[in-house]
Amino acid sequence: MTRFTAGARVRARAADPDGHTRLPRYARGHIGEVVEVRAAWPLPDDAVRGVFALSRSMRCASPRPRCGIRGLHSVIIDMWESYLEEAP
Amino acid sequence: MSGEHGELPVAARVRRLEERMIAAGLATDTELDEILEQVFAFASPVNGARMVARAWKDPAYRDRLLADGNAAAAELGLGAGAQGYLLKAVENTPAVHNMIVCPLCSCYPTALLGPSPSWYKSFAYRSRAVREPRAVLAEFGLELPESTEIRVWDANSEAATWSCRCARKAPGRWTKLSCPPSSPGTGSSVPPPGKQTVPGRPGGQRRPITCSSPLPPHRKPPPDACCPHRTAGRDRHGRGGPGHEGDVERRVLPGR
Repeated sequence: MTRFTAGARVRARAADPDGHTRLPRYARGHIGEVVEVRAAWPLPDDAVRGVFALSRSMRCASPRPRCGIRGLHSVIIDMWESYLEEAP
Repeated sequence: MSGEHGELPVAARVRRLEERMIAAGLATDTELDEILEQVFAFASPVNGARMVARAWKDPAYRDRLLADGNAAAAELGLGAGAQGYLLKAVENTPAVHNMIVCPLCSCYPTALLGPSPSWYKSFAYRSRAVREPRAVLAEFGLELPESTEIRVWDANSEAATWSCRCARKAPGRWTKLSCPPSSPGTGSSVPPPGKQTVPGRPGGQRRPITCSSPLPPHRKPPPDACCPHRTAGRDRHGRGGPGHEGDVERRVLPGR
């Protein structure tokens, strides 16, 4: 059972892990919304160490309006559940 | 890959990694070349163009392509090319333009679009696409109105997102397809008749390819969606190897 469902407001963890991760630095600490809960998939942070336990992944969108830049754009990124925490 | 690829820093890193792997006895130069040959024997933008052309012709297939990219690829006998990752197709419309980037390692549906151009793997594209996509697209010659939302898809997981224009603009009978360059957000969409000039490459006509061209034989499916930075046909010093007409790196990265 996943902690998050579509529409949930989430924040990407800001911590910098020791080893490999598929959580890009630019996304850390940013708030977004879960747009789709996807199938369980091996967590790359573990798989790189030979551990292939499945972890729920979800697709999140984060609108990124920026001062001085015209128009709206959003970034859609796949996140594993452990990358996320509830956003206030 | 691009003809200039051998001089990029990433190519130097890959060559060093290869040398370490070979020195450690993990692989041989011959084995690495064989893997690349297997990948590139199948990988071609013809594959993706066939899917887009089918989507234009068959609205039901378009719907299936947008719903399940892997199944839609398999329908056309391209299932092996989309094996090992989740293929998601997204459609460009006047309201929404999609753009794809892999900031971490330049993942790319190589089997369906051919080897990725070198600009897709550059640090500049990978870092700027998520922060200022509109400006990056403008440098490619694609000026979008402010009313058009840009969705940047980060291909950070074992999923490949493929952006294409699934609705044909101009009516008419197609007998040949033209292969446009891979540019951000256009994926392998095929331009309508009379619009075959490559954006960002004045006069850049592409070699027409027939829709009925037989696919090259392949012995094994590509191992994953990532395009290896090792260039087919190059030696470990970056010499030799094929050119790539879609390389617009020098235009995208002026002074960066």
